Amino acid sequence: MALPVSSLTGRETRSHSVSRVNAGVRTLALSAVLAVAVAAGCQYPRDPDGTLNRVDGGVMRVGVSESDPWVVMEGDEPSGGAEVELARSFARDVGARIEWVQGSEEELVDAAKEGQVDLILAGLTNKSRWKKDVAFTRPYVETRTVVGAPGGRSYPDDFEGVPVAVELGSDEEGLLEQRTDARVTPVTDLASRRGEPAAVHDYLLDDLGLTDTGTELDKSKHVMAVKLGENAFLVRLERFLLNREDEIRQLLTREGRP
Amino acid sequence: VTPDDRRPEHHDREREGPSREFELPRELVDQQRKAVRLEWITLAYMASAVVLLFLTLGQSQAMKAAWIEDLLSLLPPAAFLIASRLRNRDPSEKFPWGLHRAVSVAYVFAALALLVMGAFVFFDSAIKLVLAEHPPIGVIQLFGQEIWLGWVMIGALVYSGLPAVFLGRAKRKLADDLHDKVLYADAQMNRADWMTVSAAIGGIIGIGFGLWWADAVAAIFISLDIVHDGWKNVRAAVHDLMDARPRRHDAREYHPIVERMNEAVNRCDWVEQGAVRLREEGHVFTGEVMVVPRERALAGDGELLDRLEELADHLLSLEWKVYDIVIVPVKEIDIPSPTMPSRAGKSPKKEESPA
Repeated sequence: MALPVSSLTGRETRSHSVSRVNAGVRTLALSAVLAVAVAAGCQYPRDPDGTLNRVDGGVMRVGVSESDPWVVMEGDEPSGGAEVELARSFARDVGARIEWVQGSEEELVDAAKEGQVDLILAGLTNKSRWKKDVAFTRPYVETRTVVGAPGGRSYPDDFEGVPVAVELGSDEEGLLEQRTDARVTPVTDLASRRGEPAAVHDYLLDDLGLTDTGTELDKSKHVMAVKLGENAFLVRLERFLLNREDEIRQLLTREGRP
Repeated sequence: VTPDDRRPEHHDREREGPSREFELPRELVDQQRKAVRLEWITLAYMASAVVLLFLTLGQSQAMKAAWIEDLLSLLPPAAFLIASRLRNRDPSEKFPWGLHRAVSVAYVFAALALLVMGAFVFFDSAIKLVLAEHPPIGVIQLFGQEIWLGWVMIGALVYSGLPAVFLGRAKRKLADDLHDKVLYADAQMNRADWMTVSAAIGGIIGIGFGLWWADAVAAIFISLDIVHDGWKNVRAAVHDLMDARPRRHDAREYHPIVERMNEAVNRCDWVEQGAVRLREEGHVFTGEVMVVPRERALAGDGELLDRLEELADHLLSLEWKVYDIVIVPVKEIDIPSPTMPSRAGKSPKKEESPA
């Protein structure tokens, strides 16, 4: 190893450590700023567009799109639905008055992107294709689609040949066909076949007098959506939704009653 | 013509256990072993970081970049380890020169990984800025506590980035000792790693303050630095494959050995004129020495052969990296060589000073 090698290396190492020191100073400065901000009780994280500050004691524009039992519309205003009820109590929590905006999912997503809608209720799940256009909350409730049957009776594997009711034209109809060997029986009103095996959402089982047979057709994690990057508002909403699973299930059972 | 294709005497040929390091002088064998261990550690650690980031934050857009970077930084250590296994293999019928060049190929991969990483960070950040993407960061529930996901991200980033500082430093030192380009490129990769990680951390803190552009801007500046390093290494790697004149392992300047050998050859009293050309075969140098012997050296029986052999031994003892040379007595020298009096059209270009 010739001499010039080590002398060169020396120079380089020096310039290298200078940049490291700079980075260190930068990080330190940042953490100091952060510590001060947190100590001063500032809002953290904050919204780039200040949504939370605006709705606090002001107006919250909530976009709604019909999606029974999450959002049930009557004319231009929602008449009920699990998400609608949740949004109402969230609005009370932040001290906001709700202004409903009705539209299709796409219209609402576009409006949220432009900051014209603060919150979207449309029975969205975390698999929704709007994932990249709006910010989803963490899933606040998980629902399952199952084959329900009256308790105490036994059925052959995969319900072979058993007539199983399913709502006409729903995705459950297709899933039932694919996943089981049941005789798919589409009906317009599930309540009319109360007490018979049916493919239903888990929150409807009790109402229909059915129990879960353990055959799961589908699972969805439900979310609400807000404008991308409005993190203070998002965090506030998520904190509100956390640990409310029981309350939400009750809401669903009530709102989803067939 | 005396092709000196035996392994030179001064290279300790006693094979040391399973590692069979005959490319390196004995005092560097330990360093090489250390480097191999370090690269295994890097590989294992980065793999764990990749898994951690994927499991905890894989679906978050803001962390996807960090994840891809970690994935890319697996490439140089893997290339190094594979090349370390191959390069000591004996020449075979299929590979008559042995597999020294495995190291050159590894270097191409390592350099490309660095360049791709820089380019990726640049475009990723530029797109974020142009589309004005506001990254959403919500709340996560950990051990019954709800905390801002930003803090968790920072934790994961520190886990993936902090050891890179130390690994990079250690590798750089070893790369200097071993004159190892792959290791050197990997050290730069580690440096790139922790720099992008600190940018990402700064960015997340910035996002918390409502500055959605913070991480993109920080990352763009850092990406320029990485692209620069990557480009330099890719260039050096391609030059090596094209048998360019050997450079130091950090590509800063030409390796001094060609000049030293030239001087040694031309100092011999029986040599009228001599010229040396070397190429890099991975870790080691090989090449030809052309000599025009003086009249009197040609007389005498077998004396020339002795002289050639003596010269070969002497030249090989100058530098451990020179692994194999062929000395060719010629009537006239027609290869460009650094200290040769320049001739029309064939004079070597002045040394460009690399950045």
